[in-house]
Amino acid sequence: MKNISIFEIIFTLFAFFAWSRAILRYRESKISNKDLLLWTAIWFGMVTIISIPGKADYIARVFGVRNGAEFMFFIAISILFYSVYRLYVKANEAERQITNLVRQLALQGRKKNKLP
Amino acid sequence: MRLLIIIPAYNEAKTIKKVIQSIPAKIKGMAKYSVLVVDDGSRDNTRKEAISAGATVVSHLINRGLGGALGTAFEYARRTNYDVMVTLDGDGQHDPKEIEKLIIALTNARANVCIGSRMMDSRGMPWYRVIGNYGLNVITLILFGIWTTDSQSGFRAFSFSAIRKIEVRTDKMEVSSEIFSEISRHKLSYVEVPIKAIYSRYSLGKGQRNSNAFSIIFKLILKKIAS
Repeated sequence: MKNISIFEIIFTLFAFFAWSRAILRYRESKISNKDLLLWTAIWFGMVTIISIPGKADYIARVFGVRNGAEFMFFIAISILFYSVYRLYVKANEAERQITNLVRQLALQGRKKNKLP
Repeated sequence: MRLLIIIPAYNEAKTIKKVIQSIPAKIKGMAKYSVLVVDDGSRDNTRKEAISAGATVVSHLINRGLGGALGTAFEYARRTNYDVMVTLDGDGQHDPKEIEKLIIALTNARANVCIGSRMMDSRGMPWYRVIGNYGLNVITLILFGIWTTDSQSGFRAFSFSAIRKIEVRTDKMEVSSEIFSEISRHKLSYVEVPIKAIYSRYSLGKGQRNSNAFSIIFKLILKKIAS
């Protein structure tokens, strides 16, 4: 019987908490099916890798990385980079929409005020 | 031919009136012209000063940056069917008497875009600006395949066709390089003419800082990836 470490318990609880947040956001229609699937895969994948002894090391060797801890580190960094990129794209899109709105208001305002 | 002179302005109450009043009454090759100031959410009297100098003003409710203001200018020019559009800075850095020079170059070369280059004769330009501009020219070449001597110049002329084709999507200072991206995307022809830049303590304080270059490069690279 495998001993469960405190880290495994805390990480599993945190993963379930984060997953429940994703479900809530999905119910509120704030994230798409695709996003829910992505987050489900990420959190369940993480819990699986953490819970099965030697699994992380095995996957790491498949990808040519020395050990499981390093592999997890690379994955975490990659996810973070991707998340930052997505956030940047979304923020840019929001900025662009604000600019369009400000532009339309400015051009309509000129018509109404009949400036020289 | 009808000409639209655009002055994007943000808190330029000190200089805007003088810039508008320095525009020559007659511009060769143009039947008539109008001046449009895009007031980009100024908190001073820019709008009032521009109106009192006889310009038409469109005002952004909030500040959106140079790209946002130029995008509004293009949209205005499209809606009002102008034949030629010239943009210049509101801080007094450009001499409005040189507008004619840009228009002559544009029509003689039958080009779509004419850039007034400060770097063809960079005497008087602070050395750190020469380096910063040169760096951004190289980045523009790498990203968009166009070599220009002054990718950051705000003194430009656009033909009827360029006004309709160029789509400004960026909000801030990166718009200057974005215009070259649009020139490349639509295969527009362009020429450059040397212009003199008037550097004062005021215009140097208002202009682009070298530290902005990193932000511009980052945004241009992301734009390139996203497209």
